[in-house]
Amino acid sequence: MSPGNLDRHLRDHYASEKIDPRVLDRLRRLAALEKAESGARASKFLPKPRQRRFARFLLAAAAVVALFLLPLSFLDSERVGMPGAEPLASSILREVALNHNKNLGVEFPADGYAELRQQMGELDFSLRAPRRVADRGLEMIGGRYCSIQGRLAAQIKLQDDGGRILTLYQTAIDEFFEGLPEFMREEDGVQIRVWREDGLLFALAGS
Amino acid sequence: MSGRSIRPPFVTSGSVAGQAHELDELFGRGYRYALALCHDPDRASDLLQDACVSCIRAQAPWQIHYLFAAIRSRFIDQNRRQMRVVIEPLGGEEELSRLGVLSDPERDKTFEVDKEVLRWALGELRPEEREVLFLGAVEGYSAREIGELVGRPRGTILSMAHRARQRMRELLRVSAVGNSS
Repeated sequence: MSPGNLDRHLRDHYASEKIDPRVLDRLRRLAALEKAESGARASKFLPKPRQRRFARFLLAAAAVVALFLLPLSFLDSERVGMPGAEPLASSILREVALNHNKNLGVEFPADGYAELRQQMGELDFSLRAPRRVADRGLEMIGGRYCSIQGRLAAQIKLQDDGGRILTLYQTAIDEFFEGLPEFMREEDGVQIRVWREDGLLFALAGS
Repeated sequence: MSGRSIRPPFVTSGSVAGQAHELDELFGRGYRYALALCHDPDRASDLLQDACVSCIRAQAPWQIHYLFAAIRSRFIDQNRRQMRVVIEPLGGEEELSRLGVLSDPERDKTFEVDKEVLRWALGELRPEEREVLFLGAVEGYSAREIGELVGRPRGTILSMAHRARQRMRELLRVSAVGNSS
């Protein structure tokens, strides 16, 4: 590297650091979906005439996709209610789908909740095996820290008997999550089920 | 220090294509800021995505200062211990400002820096030090602007920048000596 000042080296260094194209793509879709869902916010984002056409196009596309994907319920035949336009539920869905699609490796390999509980000592709640999916024969691979709506959470990577990877999220329920319905829905190609058990909020995601 | 800025804040353009490009640039800047804080590409991606979700939930406009604030807030939530370092001002603000601690090209002119060495040296700094260097040198923020973002007085920012630069010089010097011997 040729001689130069520190600022220039820092600028060159950070300019060469590029965001992962897959992450960028997810963020674009997230922004586009968010705009399509929120007419009020869209006015800050898109030029007026095209904005409305673009938002209508996205909504129509989302409706078509939903028509095809909704019957593909692999998690459970039981539907536990839909969140509708509930913003918190939608936000959790997007966050869980993003985390699931990142497919990050586990930080704490473990094959059981007791072992994982010991390793993830920073959690402000105790990890539990959810009863709702106890009969699914899911095998644990391990876990890592994550967050749901800014709350410290655990992402637990599981594998079903067909070799499919699922991610399970757990976080403590506080007043922020009060009123959140249990539901199951498709988001960004990921089927997500959200429910409560023993003071914890669970989300199971699979694609 | 004046409010100079190398890059403008995010402003939406009149076309969908232009808007998409600006959004990409916004995400790119957010990613680099996250990287400056955590010095890990995977964690930076996580941090950026979490911050974007947070911005959407708060219905914040897609503007760089909102995104930076969300990234910083998420990072602090995850690294409270690391970010609790108290850095006292070294001396008078005017003196530090006159020394040009946020941008000091003359004093750094003698360094030859390999990219990997620079990456290593940055990794040796504390997150707050990398943050101040990044915001000053890469984003072109003034000490006052950095202080507003991170909630610290301007004098503290100047001190932090001064110490961060000193530390970088030491690390790069050590590396240069090691390589030449």
